[in-house]
Amino acid sequence: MMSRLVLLACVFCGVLGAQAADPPAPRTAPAPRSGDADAPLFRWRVGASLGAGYSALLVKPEHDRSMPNAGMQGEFALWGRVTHRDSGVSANLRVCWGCHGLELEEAALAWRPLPVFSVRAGRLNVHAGSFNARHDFNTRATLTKPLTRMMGGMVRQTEFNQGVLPAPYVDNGVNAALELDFGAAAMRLDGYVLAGLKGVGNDIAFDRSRNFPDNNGEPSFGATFGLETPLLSLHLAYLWGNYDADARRSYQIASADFGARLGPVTLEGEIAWRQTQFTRAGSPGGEDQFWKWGWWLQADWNIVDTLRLTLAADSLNVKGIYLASFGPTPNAALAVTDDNNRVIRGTLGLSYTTVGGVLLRLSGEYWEFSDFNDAWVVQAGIGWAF
Amino acid sequence: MTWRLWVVPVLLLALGAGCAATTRWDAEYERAPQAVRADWDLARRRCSRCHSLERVFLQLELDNDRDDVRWTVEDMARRPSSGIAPQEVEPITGALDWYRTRQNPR
Repeated sequence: MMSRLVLLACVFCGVLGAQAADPPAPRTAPAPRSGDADAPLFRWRVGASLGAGYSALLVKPEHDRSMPNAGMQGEFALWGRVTHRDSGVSANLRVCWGCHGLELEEAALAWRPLPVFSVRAGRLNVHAGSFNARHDFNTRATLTKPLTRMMGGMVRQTEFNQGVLPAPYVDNGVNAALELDFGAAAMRLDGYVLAGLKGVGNDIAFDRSRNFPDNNGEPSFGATFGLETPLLSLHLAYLWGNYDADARRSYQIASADFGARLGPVTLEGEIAWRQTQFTRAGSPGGEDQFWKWGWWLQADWNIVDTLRLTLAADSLNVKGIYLASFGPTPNAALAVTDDNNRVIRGTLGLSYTTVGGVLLRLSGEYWEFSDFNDAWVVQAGIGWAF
Repeated sequence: MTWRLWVVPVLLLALGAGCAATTRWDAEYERAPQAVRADWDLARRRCSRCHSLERVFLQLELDNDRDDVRWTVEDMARRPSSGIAPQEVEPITGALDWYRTRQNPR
C-alpha cells in the first residue's frame, strides 16, 4: 500500500511541479465577423463516432455474468447540426447504435432570441452534470463511465440497478438557459421541463426512461448552474419528478462536479445523490425511500498530446433497501445482501491517439464490494471520431 | 502484488513514450509566428481537456472560413465544464484559423 502511495505521489508531484497552472493567454487581436451577406444561409456540420471495445471480467467463480457488457461491444453514432443564418435557429440530431440498439440521442431545435438567452426543445441531452455533455464513447479517456453514471458496464449491475443517473440522460422536453459573460468567467443557469425518468417496482429503470411516452402524464423538473473560468469549472444540478405510472413515487437527484486543468493534468470529480421513494407490499406508495449516492475523481495526465495516463477512483452506495438478484427490493426474504451496500473501484488506464485520430485505449479496474466478491475488469478498445 | 505487476510496466511505457515523442501540435507551434504561438498553446490546453487534438486537425480540414472555426469554438465553450472562458474564444479561433488558412487556403 505504501509503495503504491509513494508511486502516485511521485507522478503527481513531477507533473504539477513542471507546470503549476495555465499561464494567462489572450494575445491576438479579435477579427471581425464576416458580414451577413458573406455568410452562407445555412451552416452545417456532420460527424461520426465509431468504436469497439472488449471487456474481460475476472472474478470467481469463472463464467460469472454479473457484468452485462462483458465481452465485445460496439458503439456507432452519427450526428448533424445545421444553423440558419438569419434566425440563428439550429437543429441538432444524433443517433447511436450501441448497447441498446438504435437510439435517438438528440433531436432538438436550439433558438437564441437574445445573446444571453437560449431555448432548446425536443429530444434533449439533459446537462445534469457536465459528464453528460461529454458521454461520447470516443471522448472518454477510458472505456468505462463513473459509477455515479454507470450503466451496462457495471459489475453487479442487476443487483445495484446501475448508477445514480444515466449517461447520457436523454429526455423529451424544453430547456431554457441564461448565459452571463463576465469576460474571464461565464455563468450559466438552466431550467428544464422534462418527461422525467421512468420506472416500475421499487426503482427507476434507465432502459424504460428512454421510452418516448411520458408514463405518468406529469412533467419533471430540473435546474443547473454552471461556472466556467480558465482554471476551474463548476457545475451543480438538481432534478425532481415521479417515476411510476401512478405518479406516487418521486425521485430527487442532486449532483455537483468540477473540472480543473493544472499544466498537463486534467482533474475531474463529481458527487451525485439520489433519493428514491418505493412501495412496501400493501402500501399505497410514497412513504418509504432509499438513497443511492456516489463520488468520482479522475486525473488525466497528458504525457504528450497523443498519450494520456488516467487514474480514477469512484464509489457507489445504496442504503435503505435490500439488494436481490433481480435488483433492489424491500423484501428481506428475497435479498442476497443487507440494506447497506457499497462498491469502490480503482482504475488505471492508458490511451493513445494516432495521427488521423484513431483512439487506442487500455485500462484495468479493481472492484471492491462490501457484500459481493471483488473483481478485476480489463478493457481494451479502438475508436475514431470526427 | 498484482497491483505492482500492473502499474510498473504501464508507467514505464508511458514515461518512455512521453519522453520520446514530438507531436504534430508541437511541430505546428514551431512553425507559428510569435504572435500566434501563445494562442496556439492556449488552444492545445483547452481543446485537449475533452478530446484528442487530432480531432481539431480533422475539423479544421473541413472548415471553410474563420466563422466556421469560431462557430465550433463557441459551441465548445458553451458546453458544461469546457474550461473555455468567453474572452478566450477569439484567441483560440485566431490560432486555429491561422492553421486552417496555412493548410487549406480557400
